[in-house]
Amino acid sequence: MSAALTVIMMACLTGVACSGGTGEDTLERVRAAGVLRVALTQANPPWNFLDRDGRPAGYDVDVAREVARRVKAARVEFVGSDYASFIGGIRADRFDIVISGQTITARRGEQVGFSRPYAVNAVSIFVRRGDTAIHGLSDLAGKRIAVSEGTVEAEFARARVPGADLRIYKNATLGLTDLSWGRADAALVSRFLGLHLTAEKGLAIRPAGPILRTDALGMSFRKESTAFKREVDGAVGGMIADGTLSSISRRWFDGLDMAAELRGLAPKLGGTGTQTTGKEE
Amino acid sequence: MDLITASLPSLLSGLAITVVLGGVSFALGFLIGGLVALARISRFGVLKVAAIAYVSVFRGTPLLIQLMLVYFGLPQLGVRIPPIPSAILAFTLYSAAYLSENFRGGILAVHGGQWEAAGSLGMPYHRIMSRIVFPQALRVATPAIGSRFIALMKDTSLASVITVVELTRVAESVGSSSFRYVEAFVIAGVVYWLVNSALSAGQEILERRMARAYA
Repeated sequence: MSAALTVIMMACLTGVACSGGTGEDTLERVRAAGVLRVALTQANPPWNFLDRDGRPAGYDVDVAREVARRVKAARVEFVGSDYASFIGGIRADRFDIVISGQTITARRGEQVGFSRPYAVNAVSIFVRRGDTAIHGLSDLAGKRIAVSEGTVEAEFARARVPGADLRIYKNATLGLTDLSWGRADAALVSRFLGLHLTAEKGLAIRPAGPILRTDALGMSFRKESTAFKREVDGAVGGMIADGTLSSISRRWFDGLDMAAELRGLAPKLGGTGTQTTGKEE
Repeated sequence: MDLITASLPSLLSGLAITVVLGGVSFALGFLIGGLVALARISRFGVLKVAAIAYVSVFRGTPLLIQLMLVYFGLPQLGVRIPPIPSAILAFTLYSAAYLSENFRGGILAVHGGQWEAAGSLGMPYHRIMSRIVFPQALRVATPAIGSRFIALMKDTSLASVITVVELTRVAESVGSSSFRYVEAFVIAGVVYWLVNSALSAGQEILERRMARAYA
């Protein structure tokens, strides 16, 4: 190994360098380049997915186009990624913003900046339709649990299900499909996503037990980009105020008004942006 | 580095799975590859064509696609195989295709005069192959076979996409739950490198031992 490479590696290991990109605010980059690079999984309908023609579609995609318009980026470029790579990707300047149903958590907040919440999610257990043994978290011990790597659900299962046999999938679609095939006993997943896939793909699965937690979802970007955050927050606020967010969410979530959900969530949330509900033992 | 200590047990169990995947698939691939090589050079047209088709398909398509087909494709046809056996199946079929070509090269490198000499002594085909030709072929093919083993060890990282918790999956989990990506992947890389260095050392010893008779 060359000396230069060694120095770079040491710097990375001690956390000195490698924050990625330059010191400029993402807003300057976006305005200069005329393009907003948006990362999403492209595999989590109805949040975001690829439609029949292979084009990005879904709630996040419509929201992203609207945000780009409001922060005056000429064009949007969608980048397919996954939860395990979002934070690393932002820090390595692979994209400008993640708009992919990402839960705002304190730990992620140490690594990246978050916009104000633009959606609400509910985490739920899904089981095979004929399964009557699983009613809540306490029934999951020792069971094969499908999750996607890097998601809040994966962290949640690690922390709350002792001895969980986690089966990690690239995305929720693969995990839920495999659950229906019987190679996992349960899945922890967004209830919207689970219900959507169940209907769309005719999967023989159903939600079981109470909603485990309700999360505020945000868009993430480089922590240092304060001007960008101001612009993005302004765009989200504007979309909530003028009804744009409501009409987008009604289209993708079967009539659900996400702006109303956000208003309902706000008083319940503490500083963490995450709230745990339902019975848990 | 407390990240290493904290994640050591999971790294070790990931390494164990990686070694099992690589070792078992290589051993099975070695057997099947040998049979495919024999079929490929046989006088029976059907066997020959089948072997050529097999090698062409499994060498000509990405391993990742073969893995996904076995794990997510076969269930559509009613065949559900658990993650680790799925991975071993795909890795075995894939490496057997390559190894059969290594064997074939080795067999063809043995001078035709040896076949004639052994045949003139009245030895039957299977005995000429097992006693005279194959041992020499193996010696010729050892460097290529060793490289195949090392390549397979690294290819096993693909099993992470079908939920097998091998070394790369552990590194990804450690990275995404601690956000220390550099450390997690450097540690996993070093472990792969150590394993493969041991394999190359073993290969060198083997080559030296087999060369002794010719020294």
